[in-house]
Order: sequence, then structure tokens, then C-alpha cells
Amino acid sequence: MKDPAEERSYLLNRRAFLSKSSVGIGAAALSSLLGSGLISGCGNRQENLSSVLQNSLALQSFHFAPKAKRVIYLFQSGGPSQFELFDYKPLLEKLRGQDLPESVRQGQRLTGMTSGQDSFPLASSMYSFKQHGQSGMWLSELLPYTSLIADDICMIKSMHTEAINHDPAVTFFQTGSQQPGRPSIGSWLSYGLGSENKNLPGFCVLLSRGTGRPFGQPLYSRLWGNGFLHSLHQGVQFRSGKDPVLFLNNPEGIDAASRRMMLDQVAELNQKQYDELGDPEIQSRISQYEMAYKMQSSVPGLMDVSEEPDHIYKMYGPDSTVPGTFASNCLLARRLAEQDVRFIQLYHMGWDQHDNLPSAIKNQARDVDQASAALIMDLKQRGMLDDTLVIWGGEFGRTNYSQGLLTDTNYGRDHHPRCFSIWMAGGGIKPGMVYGETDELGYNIVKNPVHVHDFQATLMHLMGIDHEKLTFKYQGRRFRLTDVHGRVVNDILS
Amino acid sequence: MGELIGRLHPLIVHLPIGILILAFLMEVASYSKRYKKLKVAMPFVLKVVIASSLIAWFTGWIMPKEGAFDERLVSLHFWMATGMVVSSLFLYFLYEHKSTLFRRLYLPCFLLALSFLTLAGHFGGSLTHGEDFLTAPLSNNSEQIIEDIDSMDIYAALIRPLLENKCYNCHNAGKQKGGLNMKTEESFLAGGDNGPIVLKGNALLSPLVKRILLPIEEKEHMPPKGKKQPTSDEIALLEWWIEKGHPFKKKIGSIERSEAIDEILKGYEKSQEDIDIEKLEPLSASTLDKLSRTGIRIHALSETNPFLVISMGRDSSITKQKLNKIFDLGEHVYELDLASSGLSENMLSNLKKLKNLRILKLQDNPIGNSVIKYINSLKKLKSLNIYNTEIDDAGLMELSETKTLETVYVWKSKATQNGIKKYNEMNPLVTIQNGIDSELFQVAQLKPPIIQTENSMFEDSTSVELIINFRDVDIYYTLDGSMPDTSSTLYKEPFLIHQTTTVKAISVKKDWLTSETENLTITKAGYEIAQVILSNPPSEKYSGKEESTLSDLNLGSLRFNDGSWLGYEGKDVTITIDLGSTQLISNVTLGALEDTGSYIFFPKKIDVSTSLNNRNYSFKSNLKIATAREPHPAEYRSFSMQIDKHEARYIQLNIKGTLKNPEWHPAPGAKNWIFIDEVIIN
Repeated sequence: MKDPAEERSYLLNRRAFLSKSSVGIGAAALSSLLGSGLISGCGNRQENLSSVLQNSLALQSFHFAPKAKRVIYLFQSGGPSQFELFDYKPLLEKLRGQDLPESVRQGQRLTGMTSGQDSFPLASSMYSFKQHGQSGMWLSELLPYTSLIADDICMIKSMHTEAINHDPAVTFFQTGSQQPGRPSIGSWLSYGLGSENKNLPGFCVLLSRGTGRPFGQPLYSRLWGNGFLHSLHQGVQFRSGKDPVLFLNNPEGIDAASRRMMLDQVAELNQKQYDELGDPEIQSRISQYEMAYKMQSSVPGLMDVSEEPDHIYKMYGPDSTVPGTFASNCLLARRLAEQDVRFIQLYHMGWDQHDNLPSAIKNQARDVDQASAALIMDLKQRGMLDDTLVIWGGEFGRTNYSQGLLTDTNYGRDHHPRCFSIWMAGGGIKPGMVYGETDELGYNIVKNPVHVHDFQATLMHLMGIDHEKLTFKYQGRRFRLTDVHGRVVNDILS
Repeated sequence: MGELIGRLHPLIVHLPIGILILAFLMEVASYSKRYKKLKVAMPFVLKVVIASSLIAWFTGWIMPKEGAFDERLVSLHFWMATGMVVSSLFLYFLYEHKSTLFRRLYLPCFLLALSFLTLAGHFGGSLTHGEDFLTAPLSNNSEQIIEDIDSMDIYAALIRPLLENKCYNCHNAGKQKGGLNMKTEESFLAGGDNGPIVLKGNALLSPLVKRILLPIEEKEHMPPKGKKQPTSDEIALLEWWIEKGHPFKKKIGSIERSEAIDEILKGYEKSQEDIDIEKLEPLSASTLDKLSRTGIRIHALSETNPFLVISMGRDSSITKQKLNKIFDLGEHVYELDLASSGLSENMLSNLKKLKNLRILKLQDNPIGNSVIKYINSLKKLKSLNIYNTEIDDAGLMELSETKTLETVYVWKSKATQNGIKKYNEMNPLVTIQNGIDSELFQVAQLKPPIIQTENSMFEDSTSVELIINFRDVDIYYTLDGSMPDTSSTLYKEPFLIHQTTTVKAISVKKDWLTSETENLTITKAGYEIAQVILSNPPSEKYSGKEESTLSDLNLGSLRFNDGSWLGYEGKDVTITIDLGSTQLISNVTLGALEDTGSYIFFPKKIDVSTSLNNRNYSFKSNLKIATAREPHPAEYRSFSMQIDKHEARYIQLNIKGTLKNPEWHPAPGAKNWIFIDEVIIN
């Protein structure tokens, strides 16, 4: 690295790169992507670059012995209703249709969608609950397959967040801040720990749309963005279809050899430019070209699921035969995990059931239930669940009262930040556990609240990182995923 | 008032302490040339010493003792303090008299005063902080990690350290707050001013536990607010001890305990791992560096844990030499991942060097029973993964020798159900992971094929393709509206249709349930439309391809923002269609979308009139559409209107929307939308 002050000025002003990049012919050739900082040794061809990049990795060793080597985060975008899935509230059945007392609501901020509503009729779940597994976990009939893994998961019923609308809430979960611009969890981990696989990015993203509300809120790629970290740490989105990663294939008429030659030349120019300017983004760029080149050969094999036997498809469910579905993404997630990709982020959209909740959530749950459970079982039978952390959950919960008209067969639910349920399983998490409690109406938390920052701190802890120590200095202050908050939830650690 | 001044004693005592020490330092310093001038200040400083020590002595005298203090300590403190006051008075006297004898006594007297000061300070400190406050770090018995907890005395190992940390400060022989001294067995049992603090066998009624469990704001709560509080584990242990009759000499192993207590006790026990780590010789950084340069992924477990985690998994360049370098790391290696590396059996011959290996991953390699003897040489192995290897029942039997195992992954190895069962009987404590029950997922239904055409409408003919993204699937289809089965046409390649056709198709595959029927109606377009005129423009956000949206032979999807819809918010619209020439007309069809959640409703009414000259229109038909009564998912509907067959060139559709959301809607009365698409004239 050059003079830090100078370097920082380039971090802030990327334009310098663009304005000057047309001059100069340079020296060192380079190739290999970083060997990671902790797990060094992913390639040794070009000491020059990888050593520079290693220095950019924050950690030289784990703060704690990591319980999990990788994370698969099954993000359920839209805010799944805890009442129809996880949080059994028999009292709501008795009080169905009655107004939610103000003493319970206590001035909770509402979204514009229900703030004008003159009554808040309590709505009970249309779907029945049963206890499952040795742990006796209550789960809804909408989750017949998740019920099979009740003894493998830890259900947290006392999650709470600060945001009440989708984008800030998802951004908060993924980056620790409601405002856009901070790095995503996967980027922080990539920054702290590097990549375990020299041929694949350390942070991969897969998207799917649910049938519950097929055209609901979009997601923005900044959710898996690197924020102010080097762009090398951003999540790489994998798609279904011919081009799993956009712009990865060589243009027509260009063969691998000439591509290689071109990359070497461009790398030389970039290195020259870096020597002159010291902008770390140039290095990110060089390594991204290299990564892309390696991915040209690693990705097709990874995405070719045809080698999976039929019984695996049956296990993940018929949807898994259709590329781009949540089920097929779960299958891909397992394949990425087998390749030691550190952070695998799935987003499944369509949980935003403001109206038509009973029918919509049924479809939506069917999208994810079997595949989520299959992923846990599949990891388990391969011996990977021990060191893979799987997380299932959305950005907030839903209200215990109906949005719009409550009829015998229909109702909706608005966003609710004060309590919701998520589950975690595998690497370092106590299996078969229910943590936290909500009140009998399911509006407030009465025991063991877990804030989003606590969740993030716990995730980092399981990966061997002290969330207070992984920081990045930017614009004069040190940032971290959990800002100035977050406590590790020790009670759920095995 | 006197009491208040007395209570200032702990504050004021610090004055004479500091000043006397300062006086001594000034005295010594004044012997040097540089600080000679300090001599002048000595009388003043000594006076201040006397004044402050007299005040401190006096406040100590009137300070209320509350009977909580050890009288022996109080009296020692008092006499030492008195000694200090007297000797400092004497010191001043000596200073003022310059005779040689007195001069000689001056310095010794200074030292005497300092000694009294030190002792008075020490006894004072013992009174407030407890007698062993100073030496606590030296005795250091609370930090002890226990190797075999069952053989320890419950009181000595668990209870005393806890009381020591949280209670002894105020309840010791020196300082007996509430008349309670918890340090010895006798005084503990004797209790305090309010009687005994433990009731035999009843933890919750014992004042000791009761007070701990009180809310922290309560005056009675112990330890007082602001002091270190016991953890929930410690409270549980204390309760357990009292429930079991608070024995002072009893082995932990001989006392009955619940699972929860067991769990807590485990935390106290020093693990074999901790013991092993203590014995490790540190490894040089360069050794690790060298290894990682050869492409081996290697890291220490953590900053403080030197055990190594090594991964050579999914690395096909693995060789015996490379592996031997790992084996040379010996007892440092904690976890070794060799999965999918093309490992062969003889490469593992030196495995036994990894004396501390806990986790071994050998899965997905062509290795057989002959590796078991190497595995059996590992004396601390806890987890073994042999999924997808050639190891069979005999190998599993042989593995019984490794007694430390906790988990074995055997899925897809050559071991049979029987062999696994037998191994399990011999090793009941081992968790065997043998894949999920395949019966669970035996019944699965195929997804239907996708019916794909270039456009959802066509003019002369269109090609239809049936697609399935899965191997060995047969697709059967019909074109006559009947339900397809395996006797229907087997799909081989794309085919052409020339009429409005409903294609129905299924997918079929061995061992799978046949899919549901997928169907798609592909519509032949009506008369060619020359021009569409809209009475008012659609919303800018949903203007599709403007007028041509209605005649582009492309039907809108269920997605209102797909660019093939015209949207009108809170407005009606009239569409005029020019066929270009006069045609015989009998049917007019209009497509519309309803998506109540997005405030989109079907029109309320559609009027059809026709004209030959675009001036004189005659009304032909109208269609009234019932408004939705409850929310529902997005729906596409074609509104088809039959009219008496007649000639016309211009057709006018007067479309009336509901304009406002109905009463049942979450936003009743808000402006809503109509979304319209293709017009077909036949």
C-alpha cells in the first residue's frame, strides 16, 4: 500500500481512475486472486498482487474458534407471517375479530397502509399447529417438511427490528443500517476472512420469486453490495438459464487463449496505473478480471445440476427441476457450500401478504418448505451441517390484526417490527431449541429479545469473528456491521 | 451531623496519607542541591500533616461502627492511627529543635510515622475491602480449571469460590455487614442478625437465595446494586447445593443432579482439549507459511488456540509427500479435511502422528477398509466422515476400536443397514449419520411442461414448443381440448398450429407421478386493425406501446407493469378502432386485468357501438361486469361480446371503470385503476 492518506483520497474519488486510465504502459503481470488472509495458500503464482490483497483483509487470525465455516442464508423477503408459520397463539382464536387494545400497541408506528384503519381486528391463523420432534416445537401445518427437522433447528421467536418498510428493513438486516451504503454481511465476511475457494467468489447470491405474491417488491443489488469496502468483496449474483453469471462468457469469436492474453495485457496496464496512483480499487478490478476468468471454467460445472441423482431432486421437491426456483437455488446453495463458498445468500421474494393472506401464504410456504428442510437434511447426511450455518427468515414480522376486512376465510396482515420468528441451524447452533417468547397476543416480546444487531453479532461470532473488532475506517470513522450495538446470543450457541 | 462527618472518614484519611508521604519526599529531596529550597516549606507541610491527621483521627473516632466490623481490626486500626498522629506531632517538635541529638532522631521518627501510617492504612483497608483483598490475586484459586469435577468437594470447588467472589467482601470476619460472616463453615451456618441464611433442603425459602432473586432495585437484594452479581448458572448451583442439604464435605459425583446442573458442571470442567493445548509447543510462523505456499489451506483455530485446521479437500493435486508434511505437524493438527481429493489408502500410513486429531473428513474418496487401521491409531478422534467411500461392514466393525468417536458419517459408503445396526449396538454412544430415509420423498410429482409460442396470438400460423428442464421426461399433448394421457401424442419437436387452439400437455417419467396438465390457449387474431384511437391518454407509468398496445398480438401477463397494459387511474376511456375497410362483424373481445391488492379492477361496464363512417355510431351491445367482492390474486380475463352480424368499419368501446375502491378494500374509496389490453374483432 501507498501512503494511507493518498490511498484514502482515491477511495473517495474513484474518478481519478477513470480520468487517468488511458495513459501508461506497465510492468508486473499478475493473476491469482487473493489467497485469503487467514487461509493463505490459494495459489502462489503472483505474490505481488495476492500479498497486497491479503493486507487488505482485516483479520490475520480468528478471534474465536469458528463453529461455522460457511453460511447459507435463506432470506425470506417480504416479511413472512409468524402467525401462520411459527408462533402459535391460541388466544387469538378466542379473541378473533376483537379490537387490538391500545395498551398493547403502545403507540407503535404503523405503515401508511394501516395507519388510516379505524379498527384493528385481531386475526388468528387459519392454519393449525402441532408439536413436532423431541423438542415439541410448535409448527404450522403449512410446514410439513420443516416439521421433520424440528430437532435440527433453533427457532428464535423474539426477533425484533427497527424498520417498518421493506427496503430499510432488508437493508438493516443485510448491512446493519437502514440507510443504503454499508457493506452487506457477506462482504464483511469476505473482507475479514477472504475466499476459501480460489475459483469462486466468497460471496454468492441467488434470487427467486415466490408464488405467494409473484410481483411484489423488487430487491436491489446493493443489498449484496460491498458499500465502502473494496468492490472485490461484493456478492456475485448467479442466475438460472444460459448465462448463470452475466457477462461472464467470452464474446463470440474470442477464444480462451486470446482472452487470457488480453487479460494479461490489461492487468499490466492496470498494475502500472496502480503503481502510479495507489488506488486500491484498481487492484480490486484486476482481481475481478482474474476471478471472472477462473469462473468461466468453474461456474458451468457448478451450475450443471444434471449430475444430481433423481432422489436428490425428489428430496428438494419437484420445483428443484425448474431453474430459478427457490428449490433449485437450495440445491445450488448446497453445491456452492461443497465448494467452500463462504457466504451463500438466497433471497426468496413474495412474503408480503397484505391481503389474501390465507391463500397466498399457503403457496408461498409450499415454495420453500420442502427445499429448506431438504437442504438441512442433505447437509446433515453429507456431514456438512456441523460446520455450515443455515439461517431462514425475513426482514420483519406481520401484525396480529387484520389489514383490511377480516372475514371467515380471508384477511391480510401489515408489517410488524416488534416481534417475528426466524430459525437457524447447523454450525454452532443449539438444535431443537425454541428461544424467546412473545406475549399471548403475539404483539410484543416478553422474554429474551433478539435485536437484528444481536443476530448479526451472533452470526459473526459463529464464524470466529468478534463483531466489535472487524472494522473498516472510512470517512474518518471506523465502521462495523453492528454499528455500536449487538450482543452475542450465547444462549443459542451449542 | 456528627454521624455525617464521621462517615467522611474514608475520604479524609487519604489527606494525611498523601501529605505525609509528600513531606517525606520533600525532606529527602531537600538534601540535594537542586531542591535545597524545599527546606523552607517543611514547617508548613508538617503543620498540614498534623492538622489533617488530627481531623482524620477525629472523624474516625466519631464514625458509626454499626457493629459490622471485626473489633480486633478496629482496635488495631485505631492504635496505629493514634501512633501516626502522635509521631507526627513529635516529628514537628524535633524539627523545631535544632540540637544535634534531636536532629539525629528526626529521620527515624519520620520513618516511624510512615510505618504507623502504612499499618493504619492497611488495617483500614482490611476493614472496608476484606482482609484478603490484597492477597487475593496471589491465592488465585477461583481461576482453577477442574479436570475431573466428580471427584471434587462441592463446597470447595463450586460454592466457596462463588461466595468468595460475590459475598466475602462485606461478609467476612473483619467486616460483618448484617452481623454475617460467610467465610467459615460455623459462621456461615450461624447466619447473621436475622438468623440463619440457609434452610436445609429448601433453596427458595433460604434468605441467601431469596435475596439474590429479589429484583435488583429492592433494598434487600444481595449483592447490593452496583456490586458484581452472580450469574444464572451460579445461582442454579447455589440452589442445587442448598436443595441437597448444603454439604460442606461431599464429592460432587455423589450428589444427585439434574441435566441442567450437569450442563453447567461441564462448563467448569477442564476439557481434554484444554489439557492438550497446554502441552503444545508453539509452531513457527514460517512453517505454516511454507505449507500454505504449497496450496494447503491452513489456519489456527483462533488467536488463543494454536490447534490447526487444515483443508486439502477438493484439491486433486494431493500427494503422499504433501500429506506427510501435514503429518509432520503432529499433535498440532485438530481438523483435517481430505474430502474429494482422490486420496488413496496408503497415503494415510503416517496418520497416527496426528495425536490430537479430533475431526477427520475422508468423504468422497476411493478408499476402503484398509484405512481403518490408520484411523484406529488416532486416540482422540471425535468425528469421522466416510460418506461415499468403499468402506463396508467389516471396516465399520474394525472401527469399533476407536472408542472416542462421537459421530460417524457413513451415508453412501458400502456399509449395509445391518452392519450399521451392529456397529451401533457395539458403540451405542456414537451418532451414526446414514442419510435421510428415502421413503420420505419417494412420492414426487413432476412439473408440467412449459408451452411456449412466440406470441400469445398469431395471424396465420405459429410454432409451439413444449419444454421441460429435466432428463428422461416424456411429454404428451392434445390439441383438441381433451385431457392428455400416455396414449396422446408424444412430443418430439416443435409443431405448427393454424387455428385458435388450446394446447394441453403433461410430463411423464418413471418413478415419478405424472404432472398436472398445463394448458395454454393460443388465439388466432381477428381482423387486422388499422388504427386505434384513445379518447384520453393512459397514465404515463402504464402506457405500454401507446395505442398499438391494443393491437400488437401480444397479451398482457398477470404483471401489471410488464409494459403490455394500458392503465387508467380513476378515469373511464373510450376506444375507437378502425379496421381500415368495412368488414362483417359478430364478436368483439377485450382483455382486462384485475389485481385488487394493486388497486386494479375490471371495468364496470363496456358499451359497444359500430359505424361505417366514424360519425354515426349505432349502439350494438353492452356488458355489465360484477365488481369483485373480496381481495384475490391477479386475474386476466377476456371480455367477449357477441353482436348481431353486420357490416362496419369503426368499432367504439366505451369502457366504464369502478373508479374508486369498494368498501371492503383496505383503502376504501381510493382511486383505482382499469388495465386493458388486446382488442380482437371477428
